Amino acid sequence: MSSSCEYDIYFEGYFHGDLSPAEELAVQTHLLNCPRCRNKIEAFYRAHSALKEYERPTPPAELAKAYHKNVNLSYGKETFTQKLLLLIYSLTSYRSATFRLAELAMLLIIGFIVGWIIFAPSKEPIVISGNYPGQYLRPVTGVDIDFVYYYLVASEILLLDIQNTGENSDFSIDRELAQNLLIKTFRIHEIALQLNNLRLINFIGHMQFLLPEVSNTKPEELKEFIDTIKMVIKQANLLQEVDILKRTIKQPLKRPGT
Amino acid sequence: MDPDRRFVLFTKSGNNAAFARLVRKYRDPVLLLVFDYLDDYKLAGNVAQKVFVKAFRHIREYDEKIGFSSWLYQIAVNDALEIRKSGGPDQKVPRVERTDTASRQAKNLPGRLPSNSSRDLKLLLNNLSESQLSTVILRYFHNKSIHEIAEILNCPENTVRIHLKDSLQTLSADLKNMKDHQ
Repeated sequence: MSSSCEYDIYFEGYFHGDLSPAEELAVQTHLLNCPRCRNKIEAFYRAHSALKEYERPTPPAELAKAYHKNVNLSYGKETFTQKLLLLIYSLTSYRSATFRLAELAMLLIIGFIVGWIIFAPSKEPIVISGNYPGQYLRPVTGVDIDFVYYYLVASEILLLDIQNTGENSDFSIDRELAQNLLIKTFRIHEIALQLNNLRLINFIGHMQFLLPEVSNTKPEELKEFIDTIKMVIKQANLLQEVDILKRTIKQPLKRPGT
Repeated sequence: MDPDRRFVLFTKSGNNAAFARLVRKYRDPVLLLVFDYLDDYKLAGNVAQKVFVKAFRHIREYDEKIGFSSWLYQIAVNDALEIRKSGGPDQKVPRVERTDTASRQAKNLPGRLPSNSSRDLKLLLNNLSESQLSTVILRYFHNKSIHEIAEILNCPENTVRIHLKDSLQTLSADLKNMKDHQ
């Protein structure tokens, strides 16, 4: 065969459309340049079309029925267990498009349920009242209660210090303690709001007034205000309040060995 | 895993019901394939039945390098060609009377008649060599790919392409001659 006709073995595949893109392009390019192959492909296509249009006679119904019956009897008998095994296999390996879609839907539903169980918000109402709008407040825990308790103990010490400070005596007010309490006041206020404890809120309100004065004012200047501060403590009964709060808020944590 | 292979594994382990599934799937294609070679449904039915018996007996020899359908078609093609070679049945397309469907059924004749052009074409196919005939039957009447035909006929894919090309060449020439005579 001449080299110009080496493509003719691809003509049949070209008609069926099962050549690779590269092969198809090569055939098309060759046909543009080879009139002999153009004639040949036309003749091939007539034969190809005739074969495509071929109609086979259908088998006679009775013969087909007899064939089906005989062919099923040509090997051993099927048992119930064998059929059951196959049925189980068919059910487990059935994968139609609808079945896959249903499978996907099931997975999504299960995923949603699991996600809901894990990430669903707690049924307890979320306290949204914070120091600023939209603030997220985590639920109050035992640690927070301890925090409040020790804050109250420290506050009591500071209040007693202030109360016992005389006009002529040296100032023994622990300004560092006051500064520490001031830092913690913000969080204590949040917890008080979450607990909705009006007594504690009221107490914190007074402390928010006292603590900046005590911690930020120089000792020499504080002497001038000390009487005012003492008067506030007395009028607001802060020492009694802190004692009541200490007893009501929580018993102190028991330390190991005590 | 390919369901055919799973059924073959079941059959190898002694599950006849699995082979029944394979038979139900392939009994009609095998019958038609054998008919395409022999042009006689009664004979084709007997040969196809033997094909399945042979497949069942030799299922353990099937090594799964090729698809089960290709293996089964291989047996069917070989058996049909053997009958053709032995010259038993008439190789020509049987003459079919043009009668109504009911009387055709009563006489056990084909249910649907092929057109004249189809019958002429079938006669022309007898001019092809065995290999060419097999490639044409598998390609055009059973929609097999070049790769599957190569598996069934146990030859390289390019050989299949050459057989197809030669078949088309012969058929186109024969069709032209037939037209000229008419």
